[in-house]
Formats: sequence, structure tokens, C-alpha cells
Amino acid sequence: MVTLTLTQALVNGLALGAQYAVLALGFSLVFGVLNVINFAHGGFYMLGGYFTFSAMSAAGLPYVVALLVGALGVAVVGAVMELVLIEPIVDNHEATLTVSLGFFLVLTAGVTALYGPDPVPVEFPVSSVLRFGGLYIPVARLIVIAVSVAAVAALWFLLYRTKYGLALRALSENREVATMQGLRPRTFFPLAVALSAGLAALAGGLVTPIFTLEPVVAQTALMTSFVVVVLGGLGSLVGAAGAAVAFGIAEAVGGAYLSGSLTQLLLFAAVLALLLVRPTGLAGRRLRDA
Amino acid sequence: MSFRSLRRSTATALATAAAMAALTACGGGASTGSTTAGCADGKVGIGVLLPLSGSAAGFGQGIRQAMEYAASEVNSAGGLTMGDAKCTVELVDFDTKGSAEQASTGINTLISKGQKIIWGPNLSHEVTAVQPIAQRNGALIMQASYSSKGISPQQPLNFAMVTTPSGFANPMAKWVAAAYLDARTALIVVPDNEGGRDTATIDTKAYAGAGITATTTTYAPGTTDFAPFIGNLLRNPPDLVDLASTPPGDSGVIIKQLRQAGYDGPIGRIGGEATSAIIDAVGSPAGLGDFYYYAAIDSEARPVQDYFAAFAARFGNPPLTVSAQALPAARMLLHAIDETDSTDPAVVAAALEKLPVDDPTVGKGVWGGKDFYGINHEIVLDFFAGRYQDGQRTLTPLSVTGL
Repeated sequence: MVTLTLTQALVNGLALGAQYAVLALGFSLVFGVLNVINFAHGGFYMLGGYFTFSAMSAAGLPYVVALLVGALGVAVVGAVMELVLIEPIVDNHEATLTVSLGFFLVLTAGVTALYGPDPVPVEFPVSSVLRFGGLYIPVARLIVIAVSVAAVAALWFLLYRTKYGLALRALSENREVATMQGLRPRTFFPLAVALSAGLAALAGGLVTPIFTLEPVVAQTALMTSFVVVVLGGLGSLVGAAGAAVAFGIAEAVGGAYLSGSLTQLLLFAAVLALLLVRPTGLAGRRLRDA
Repeated sequence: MSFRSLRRSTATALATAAAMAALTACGGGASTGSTTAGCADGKVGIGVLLPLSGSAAGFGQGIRQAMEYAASEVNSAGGLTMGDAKCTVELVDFDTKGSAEQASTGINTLISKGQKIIWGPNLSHEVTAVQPIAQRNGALIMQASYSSKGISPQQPLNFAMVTTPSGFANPMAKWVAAAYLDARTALIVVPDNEGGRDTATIDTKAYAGAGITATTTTYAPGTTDFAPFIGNLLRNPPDLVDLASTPPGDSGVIIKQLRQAGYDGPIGRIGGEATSAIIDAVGSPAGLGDFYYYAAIDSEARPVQDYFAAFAARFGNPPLTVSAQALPAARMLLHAIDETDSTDPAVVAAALEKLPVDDPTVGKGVWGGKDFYGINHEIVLDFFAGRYQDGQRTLTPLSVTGL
């Protein structure tokens, strides 16, 4: 029984960790390239869910197309936000934090006004469940894992195997030198935020139909991505991905054995303790400087 | 980017988050509207103190809609009669965002603006935060929580605007025992907060009275994926799962994941009604499986449908279903002000508790609460036991006025 429960928890944890990874990578990417902590990130996740929902219900698009349209639409919103709101103050940490938090509040309030505060009726197109040996695995979760792995691999390819990725990494390492080499932040920063917003929207469009789509999901997404990225090391993509999977598994295993708020209490206490020992997070400095 | 700037940015982020939290706690949910009470400027202000955003916004906005509609009825008929003057009703909003801190800030803000007739709050922890301030300032609060301390003889200006579990849990549990004859055990699932635990305590006693042994399990508020929690829950599957007053979005996810995990027993909800929102979260009525619930109103009854249509015609959008539950209380509160020509909370309270509960939209009820709270300050309306099977709904009337 213990083995079965643990195995079930690990499967659930992997699915959780995979979705957290897609969410956190975008958050970390923007910090790494722009040096901006983008509090609007949770809003992009929520918006991805609503764009996908609207593309299905209003435009009648099939789910997969709606998901891609939603991600692209939110990517555009992200790029516009960067150009209009972030770009003029990009070097001012306090101002970018406040503006992105304000944009987050505008997004959630706007969605609440437009769609209402209650959940909207959206269903994931696949509802079958695999059962064997007492384990149950919803196929939707396997799809989430597969899409998340593909998204992370695509991001890795983009960053490490293309000229665009090279430019982003150069801007991340040393903006002044990269600019002197002819790279234009005004071109690449909006693209980085668009990529980040698109990833968040992909996670939102993928995950919210499986769980629930209501404005409040933005807050949880923001909190989770922030904690995961701080745990992994701000700006470190590898750290964020690793921390996301670890966080998901810890949450699932804790939830399988503990009730109430105890899992969250222990989880956040562990994160705090770890940050006391390693203020830069799991992979903050060493990997970033590597 | 250097290690130093990385640390600085992290610290700045945390400091900004804390500052924003402090800012909102100090009145970020600012109010709008009149700053005067009474009818000095031709308006009577009703302080609205509800979670208009955040996870409980579905309840808060619905309850606000009830007062918004009742006020529009009064205003379109010329307003409240206050002595020789006619005064229009104006809502003075404060968004609690579902937090005790904001609710506390809100009641102080509203009172400082002269509002002592308060429509709200909604959540148990909000009520706990608001009560001492309201009592100290002699404000009347018409709250919508299921807090076990929401009304009491020591707080004669407090009223419960909707029927609380103490009013509907016993008849509902008896109906459940009759509908599911083999049910011996129930698991009550609630969020790990004051409101959740209060409802669970009342439901547990009600199930015990009906011969069903109930236990309670809690989850952390803010949980989005319940799969780990459900694996734990199904190690010893109960005959019934009761979601009590779990928010609709959470209820929807729990139902979906319970069904996916293979649980085919009845799932119920002896708590605040949010069935239409739960169906949206689940995706379809069929997705509920066998689902029973406390139905405060028959949303398909002609008078209720007329209200929905009239609201939509007046405000452009149909109201949230929950608003109909609070409509009788909203009308009665305004009627008490009209009848007494006063906005003095004590005078209005004395008139309010004498008004009959008989609403043209929702129907009849009684003033209840004496047995549980020690004071008859709870509006207890006739209600229904609702049940979905294979996507089809049935309603069984459960009368309180005939008892």
C-alpha cells in the first residue's frame, strides 16, 4: 500500500513539476535577459487559459489550434507590455516590479469583468484514464508532461542552438558588451518577454482545462513560479527546471500523506531554510556564471 | 548579471511584494461613492463590505448584486421615504479581497465615511475581524458567512442575510440518509480555514443526527491540483463525500479528479449553493455523477427567472445565481430603513427583526437561529434538496415555514 501510494504520488508530482517548469522557465528567462522580475507572469498564465477558451467557444477552433492561437495572442500581449510599460524603465528595478504587478492586477480585474469571477465551462478534450496495478493515470497528465518536456526542449534548442538564443544569452551575460556588438535590446527584450508570456500561456491553456479556469488561478501561478524560480536561482533556467520538478514531487508526496495546510507549511519552511543556506537558490550562482 | 545585483533584485522583489501587501492592507481596496450617511444630500448610503475580487469574488459579487438590484427597485420607485424627503439608495463599496486585514480596514473606512448600515461581510474570517469594530461603533452588519459566531445575543445589531448550515444542515442530512439508505460514512472536505471548519462541525453533527458517521479532512486554500490529496482520501473510501462550503472552483476540480480516480459514490454539498458554477468548473452536469446539494432556491422557478431577466435588462448582464439567495434580505433591510425613516442602526435593527420573511422572488421563510446562535437574527428560507443523476436535476422541497 505504501509503495502504491508513493508511486501514485510520484506520477502526480512529475505532472505537477512539468507544468511548473514551463511556467517557471519563462519567469526566469525574463529575469535572466532583462533583469526584470515580471509579476505579470501569473496573469499571462491565466490569460492563456481564457484566450484558449475563447478561441474554442467563440471562434469554434479545435483545442490544439486554440491552444497555439492563445499562446501566440498572449505572446503579443507580453511584447506590447514590454515595449510600452517596461522598456522605458527597464533599468529601474523598483519601477519594473511595481509596473508589472500593476499590469497583473489590470489583467485579473479585466478578466473578472469580462468573464465573471466564477469558473468558465472548459474541458480538456481527452478524459480517459489509464489504470494498472491500483495506479490511475489520467491521459491528460501524460499529455501535460509530454508537451512540457517538448516546450522545455524547444526552449533549450532556441537558446543554445540558434543565433536568436545566442543574442539573448549575450544580452543576459553582459548587456553593454552585447549592445556594442550590435545587438539591440529594444528588439530582443520584447521578443524575450513574448517568448516568456507565450510559455506561460501555453501552460495556462494546457493545464486550466484539466483543473479549473477562473481569475484566481493567476495568483497561484504567480506565487508558484516566483517560489520555484527563487528556489532554483533567479535567472538560472536549469535551476528553475530542476526546482520545478522537485517542488512538484515534494508537493505531491506531502499531499498524499498530510492533510490541511501542513504540506504547504513544510514545503515553504524547507524553501526558507534552503535559502538561508544558499541565498542564490539551488543553482543560482555556479550555473549562471558557468 | 552579477551575484550582487541578483541578490539585490531578489530582496527588492520581496520588499516590493511586502510593500504592496501593506499598501493594500492600508486601504488599497479603496471605496467609491458618497461620504455622507443619512439623507442629507438626498442619498442613503449602504456600506458594501464584500470580497469583490479574489477567490471568493463569485460569492461577494453575487451578494452585492442582490443589494444593487434591491436598491435599483427602490430608486426606480422614487427612493426611500425619510421624513418628508425621498432619498435614493447609494452603494458605498469596499473590496475585502477575501482577507481579514482588508475587511478590518474596510469597516473602519466605511464607518469613518459615516456608513453604519453594512451589507456584508461574506467570509467567516472577515466577520471575525469586522465584528468588534462594528460593535464598538454601533454599526449594523448584515453578514453572509457560515461562522458559528456570526450572530449572537451579545451582538444585537448583527444579522445573517442567508440561511446558514444551522438552518439547513439537519433537514438536508435527514434527506441524504433517506435517499442513500446504505450510506454509513461520510467524508467532509473543506478548506483549512475558519469558515471551512465551522461548516464541517455543523455538518458532522447533522450527519450524526441522521445516523451517518462523518469525519473531516482539510486542504490548503489555494490548492489547484487535488490529485495528491485525493489519493490520500481514497485509501479508505467513504460512502459519501461532502464538499460542504468548498469554493466552486475547488469543488469542480475535486469532483473531476475524484471521478477520474474511480470514485463512483455520491458526492454532495451541504453548504452554500454554487451548483451552476460547479457545473461550469466540472464541464457539464453529467460530469458531476451522482451529486446532491443544498439548493437555496429553484433557479428555474418563474419568479426567479423573472428576476434574472429583470436584472439583465437593468444592468446588461444576468446576475450570479447566488444573488437570488440574498435578495430577500436586501429588500428587507431597505424596507426597514424606509419604514423607520432612519439610518440609525439600532432603530433599523429593531424594525428589521419584526419584518415577516416573505419575498416575491424567493418565497417564504422565518427568522431563525435561536437554537444554534441564541438569537433569531438569521433569515431562514424554505429550500430544496437538489440531486443530479446522469446530468438530470431533481429538486425536493424542504420547508422550514411549515415546521
